[in-house]
Amino acid sequence: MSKIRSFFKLSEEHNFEELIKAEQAKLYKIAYSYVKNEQDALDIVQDAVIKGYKSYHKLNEKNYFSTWMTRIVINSSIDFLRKSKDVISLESEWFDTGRNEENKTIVKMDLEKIFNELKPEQKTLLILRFYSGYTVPEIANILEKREGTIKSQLHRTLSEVKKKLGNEGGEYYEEVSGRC
Amino acid sequence: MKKFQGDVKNLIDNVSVPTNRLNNTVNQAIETAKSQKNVRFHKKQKLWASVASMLVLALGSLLLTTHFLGAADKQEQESILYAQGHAGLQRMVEEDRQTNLSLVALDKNIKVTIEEGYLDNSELALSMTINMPQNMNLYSNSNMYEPTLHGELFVNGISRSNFSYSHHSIKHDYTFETIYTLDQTRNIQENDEITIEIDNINGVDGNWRFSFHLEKEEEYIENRDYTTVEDAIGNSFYIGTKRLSPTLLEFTAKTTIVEGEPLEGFSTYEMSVIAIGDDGEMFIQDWYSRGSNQYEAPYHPEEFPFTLGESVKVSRSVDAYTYRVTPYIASYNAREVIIPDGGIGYNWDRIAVPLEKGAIISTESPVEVLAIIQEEEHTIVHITMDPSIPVMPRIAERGSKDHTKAISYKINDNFIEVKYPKLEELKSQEIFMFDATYQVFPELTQKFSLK
Repeated sequence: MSKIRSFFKLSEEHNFEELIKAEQAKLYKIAYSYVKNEQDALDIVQDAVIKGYKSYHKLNEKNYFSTWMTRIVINSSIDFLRKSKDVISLESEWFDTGRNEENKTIVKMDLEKIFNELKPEQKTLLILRFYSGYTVPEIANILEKREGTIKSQLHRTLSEVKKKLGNEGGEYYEEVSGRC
Repeated sequence: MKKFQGDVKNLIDNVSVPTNRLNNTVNQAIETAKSQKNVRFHKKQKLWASVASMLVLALGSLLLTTHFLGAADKQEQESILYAQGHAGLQRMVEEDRQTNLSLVALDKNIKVTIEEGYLDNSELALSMTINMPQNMNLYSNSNMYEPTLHGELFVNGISRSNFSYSHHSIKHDYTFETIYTLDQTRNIQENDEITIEIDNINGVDGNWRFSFHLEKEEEYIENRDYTTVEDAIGNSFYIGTKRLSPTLLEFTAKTTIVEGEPLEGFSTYEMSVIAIGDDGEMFIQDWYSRGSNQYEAPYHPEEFPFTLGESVKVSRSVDAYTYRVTPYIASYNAREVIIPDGGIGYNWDRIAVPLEKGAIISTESPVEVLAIIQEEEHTIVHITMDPSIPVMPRIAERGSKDHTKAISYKINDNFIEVKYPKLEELKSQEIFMFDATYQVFPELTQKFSLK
């Protein structure tokens, strides 16, 4: 009995190793989108792979491996940002470009800059919807939230993107908005 | 839609992948995971011994902490308004001018406690603790570790503000602390019934309702005089209506700089706000908020001329009524950093030396430490530096990113006496200035008294 178990475990490990090789570049890119730093993104991937390997036996439907690992890497990225918050928030001085809450100035910016300035949960929505291509019900399932919540959060995020893109982004956004 | 989707996809797809490093990282992670699986059993055996040791240590620390904390310090240590509030609110706690409420509401296994409240004619501040149930998955519910909070504030049954935010300080894994503030509070009276209704915490609908009264600090001074000063070049500085409550000084200002030194590095337009004590002690005041309704307000000027009209709120760390405001431009050598909540920030480079007699900070205008004096509540540092520089050196423990700002200073004949909060372990401290140049406009300085 123990020999059969060992064999099964071995093949499962191989399976994980094969599957993760196919996903690792994508996972790195997602992690990098949050932290914008090669070493930090690699650390996040490492953390996610360890978590994934340890829990792989709990994943009943292996077809969902990609979605499952995407979720782990997103959670690891947010966890990383939360932990580094304790450190970074103690930095001597930084100038938050959005420090002026009363300033209603709308500055036209490109998408990359806007994306970088989004909150982590907003980035998550855009990554899942527009990079990974998940539908709203799928995102709701991944994030364990109601569809309505995802729709309204996505709407708010896109409104913010629209506002920051300025007039140029108006038409652009309307098209996006129609499909959410 | 397709264009947007394509752009987001390209944005992430275009991230270049360090293939070899990534391969090594993933292989290493798998090896680590395998080895951790193997040692799990051995770890369990050691766990109980570790838990027992930790209990002993925790109990020991607790006893020591309790023994050494004085009663007044304890109040400040425990106050969320003190821990998270601006300098004006901190002073109110130090002077015991807040209202302790300790009101609890429990729904859906989430306990919300309104701990303290403070009300004057410029702001209302409430501190809260949120205890989440231990089975709540805080990450997957909101993708943020801190819970989101949505609610409404009523005064005598009339809605005054909807609030929704997610920035809290994490006390323990499932306990969060936060401050809610409301401005424009002149029409809220001491006997008014204030009601807070929270209807959603971290996606969980519920009803956490509180009704209470707050004592009100009535001091409020408004001065509608306005003054404009201009220098020979044509630079000008206007200060209009000034309002003062126990916690905040507010004023409107308009600055026009037509000409100055070339702007290099990361430049910010700043104001030095000094509260002048009765004996001439200069208390350095931090701004609480600055706001402008200008299109692309030039807080980081890139060229001359520029004009900035703004509303400024300053935290009152001291009970003084005479203020001196001097505009200046600081140009920093800075490094870009990603802010955890999103966005870009800048870390300013430091020039640091050990905090000891004779140390010299080699900035453009050098700063020399002449003496360090330990008083009961403060550390006093005597320095020589160009007194026109609008900032004082700061002190940090070596290797730490945290730092201590000067509270105040006095200019003597041959040196400047700078007061800091009491610093222990002077040997491990460094004194530093940011690597920056300052363009100060002394002729534009305005001084006003509100009493």
